[in-house]
Amino acid sequence: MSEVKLLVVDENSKLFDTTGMFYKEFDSDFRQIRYYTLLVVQKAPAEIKEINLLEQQISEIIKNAVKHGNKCDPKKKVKVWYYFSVDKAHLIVQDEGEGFKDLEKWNDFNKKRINCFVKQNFDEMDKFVSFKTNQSDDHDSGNAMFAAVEYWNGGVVFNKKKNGIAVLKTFPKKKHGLDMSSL
Amino acid sequence: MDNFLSILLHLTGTNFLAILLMGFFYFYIKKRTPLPPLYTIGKIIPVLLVRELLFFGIGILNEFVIAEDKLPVYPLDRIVYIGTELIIIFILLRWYSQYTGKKSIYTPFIIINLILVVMVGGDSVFHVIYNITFLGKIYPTLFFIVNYIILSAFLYSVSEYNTPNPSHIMGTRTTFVQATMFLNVAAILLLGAFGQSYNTPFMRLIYLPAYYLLYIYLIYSYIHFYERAEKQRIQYLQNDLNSVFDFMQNLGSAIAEKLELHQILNFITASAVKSTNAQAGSILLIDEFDSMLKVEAVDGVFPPPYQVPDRVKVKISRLQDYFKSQPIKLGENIFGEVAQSGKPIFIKNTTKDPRMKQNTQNDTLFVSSFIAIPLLVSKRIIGVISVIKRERDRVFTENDYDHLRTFADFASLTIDFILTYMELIEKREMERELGIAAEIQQKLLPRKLPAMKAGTLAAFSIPAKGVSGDYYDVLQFKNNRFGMVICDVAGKGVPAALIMVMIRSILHLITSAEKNAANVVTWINRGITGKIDIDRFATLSFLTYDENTGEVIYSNAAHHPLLIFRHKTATIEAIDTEGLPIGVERTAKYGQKRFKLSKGDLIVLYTDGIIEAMNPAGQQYTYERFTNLVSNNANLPPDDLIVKIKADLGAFVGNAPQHDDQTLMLMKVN
Repeated sequence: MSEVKLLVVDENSKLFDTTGMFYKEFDSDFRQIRYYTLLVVQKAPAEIKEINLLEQQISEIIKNAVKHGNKCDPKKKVKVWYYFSVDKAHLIVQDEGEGFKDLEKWNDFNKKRINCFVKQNFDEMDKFVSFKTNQSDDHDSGNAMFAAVEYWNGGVVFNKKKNGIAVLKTFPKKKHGLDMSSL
Repeated sequence: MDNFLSILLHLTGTNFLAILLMGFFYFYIKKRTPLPPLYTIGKIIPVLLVRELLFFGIGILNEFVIAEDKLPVYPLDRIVYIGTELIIIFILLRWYSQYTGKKSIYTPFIIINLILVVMVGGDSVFHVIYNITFLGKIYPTLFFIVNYIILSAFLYSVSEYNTPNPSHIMGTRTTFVQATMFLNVAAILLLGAFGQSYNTPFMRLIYLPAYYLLYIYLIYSYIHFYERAEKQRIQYLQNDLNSVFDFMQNLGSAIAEKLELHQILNFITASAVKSTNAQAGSILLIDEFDSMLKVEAVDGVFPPPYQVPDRVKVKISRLQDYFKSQPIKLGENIFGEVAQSGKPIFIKNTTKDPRMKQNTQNDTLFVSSFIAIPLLVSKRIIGVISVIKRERDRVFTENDYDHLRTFADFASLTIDFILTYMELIEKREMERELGIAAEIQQKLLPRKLPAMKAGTLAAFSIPAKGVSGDYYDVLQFKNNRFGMVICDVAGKGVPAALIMVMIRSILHLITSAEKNAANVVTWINRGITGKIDIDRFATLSFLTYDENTGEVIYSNAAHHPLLIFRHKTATIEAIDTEGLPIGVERTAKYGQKRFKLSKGDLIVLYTDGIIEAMNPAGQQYTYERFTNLVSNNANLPPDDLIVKIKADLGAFVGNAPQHDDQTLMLMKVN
């Protein structure tokens, strides 16, 4: 937790490589976000244990695209590429919006938040619980991306326009015991 | 002649006989009990032999060579006796240290005996003390008594808690101490009061051989203790076997009751504690995800054998919680060391090992003796089992250590077996659930499509392994009317199959009264939405077809639009109606469209799995390729068209695994 994870902008990141990924296009219909999420997550193999957590994290990203990216404009689409295996989950979501303009502000905000935590300064931390912009409404908790940068341990990367996000989660392989020769 | 006889007597006397006997026992026993301390005791024999030969030489010198008035004032035989006796004392010390492993025991002896050597050396030149009638004759014996008192104290400090295999010392020490005291006190009387010297016939033929009997006893007792140790070993093995057998039996019934890993680990830990007479025990297993050791079972009060924060030490319960909650990296602290090296650690006495420094104080952390054994299966480390003693002056014996090692072998196999078995069960359960879902799905699909008067129906549905979300059905109503439904439930497994069952039930129930397509879809949506806790969604197309009029009424809940191949124009039309997927909103409204089919027209209903089928290069089959294929082959009878589509799909996908159900339904107007 003490290591500050950042949102990165890197158009050429390997995470944007869609080779071999499934693809779907969704309308910007806020009501259907859970359905879209389920359509995506159903491709995940049954071996992935914390499927609900994965579902929730994917839902947040699609929600951001529909709500903050496309502003729920029915003319705009959300494109989703996704791939799951026993040891990883890879997702790319792109909307037709203007991009996450406050990305640097968010990074700065998160840095301060984590510094408060490291210093155990909880009074100060109170100010950094929720990231809001002038576009936020009462339904926005303002903390979905804090969880996202922790969850997507393989990286959270934006494209240049910041309207596309690629995330990767790797799952540890389950095993009992360790080969002595590997030690 | 008399002198010669007396010399002969010396040579064949009891002294030599005793040494001979000692040698005989030594070589006899050495063959049967090859023990290093015995070899040390055996070194007394050559020393005694040298002593006797020197006595003999001195006898000859005194009798034949040196004139009576030239005899040395300080007798040579005393020097020989004192010298050899000192050597023997040091041999006995070496013997003792072989048992206890103590190295720094020689200092008091060296100091005492240096004084003795200086006194004797000085005396043989200046004859000061020697001339004091009584004391002069006995003071070396007094020094020997001091030597033997210290040695006795050493011997009596030996116990099973501080010395491995102490039975020989413990069994012989009483006799040894009594005999040395008696013989030395006797020597004081004989030398001081009865005018004997070491080279007189009485001393050499009675006193010294009596002394030698003591060494014979020490040597001979080896065989006795060796046999007893053997018996104990057999007894111990028997106990080991019994306890493993008991363990197996109890474990067997524990497993038969319920295969619960923690319960079994607790049972194994408790058995380890019981069979080693420990106060507490624990099992740590390597975590299945992050390669750290985690405490999985604890029996008794087990203080962590590593540094803990002070605030934790104050209460046993906190200490226990701390111990259970701290994962241990491989290589970190003593448990990590055992796991990383795969080698057991036995710390008999914690005060002597720096790794246990924190556990030696008189507080909650106190541990007196510690054993940790790696749980290994072939070359895989699965964890560590450990037992501790927490009583002052009570430590584990070598037997306890050996026993736990045998026990750990067995425990690792058992734990490994259970873990593997549980993984298997988990996998089986997962597959079983998917299997159940697939079975439900297969049972819902119509076994046989109804025959039409003026049309032909054809359909296929290929489930993907572990998905089972597609459903299609054809319902036959009165007056040559038919209902057709295709549905793709999001999600998979039993929950998805249940939705399918619900949709099918609602459909069959309401279509007996309600034939309006939009109303049917609306009813299905109402039936599904908000009825169950978890969100479930499906896309669904429903249409009715009247053979008499050729009219289709179609309503769509966000499924792929209905495709119609128009025979007349040889083009494909896509028809859609407004509506959300089933399950999104309870009050969702669904539109419907009416249109007529003519002769040769073909309607096509399909699911995602067809157009999103993926080849090994990650490319999708696409809507375009699908509709082109349908257009180009629309003249074929539906059954043949299906064969064609399947073949093309198969050729495209190649050996890539099917990731989604593929369902297709066709109806052609004849």
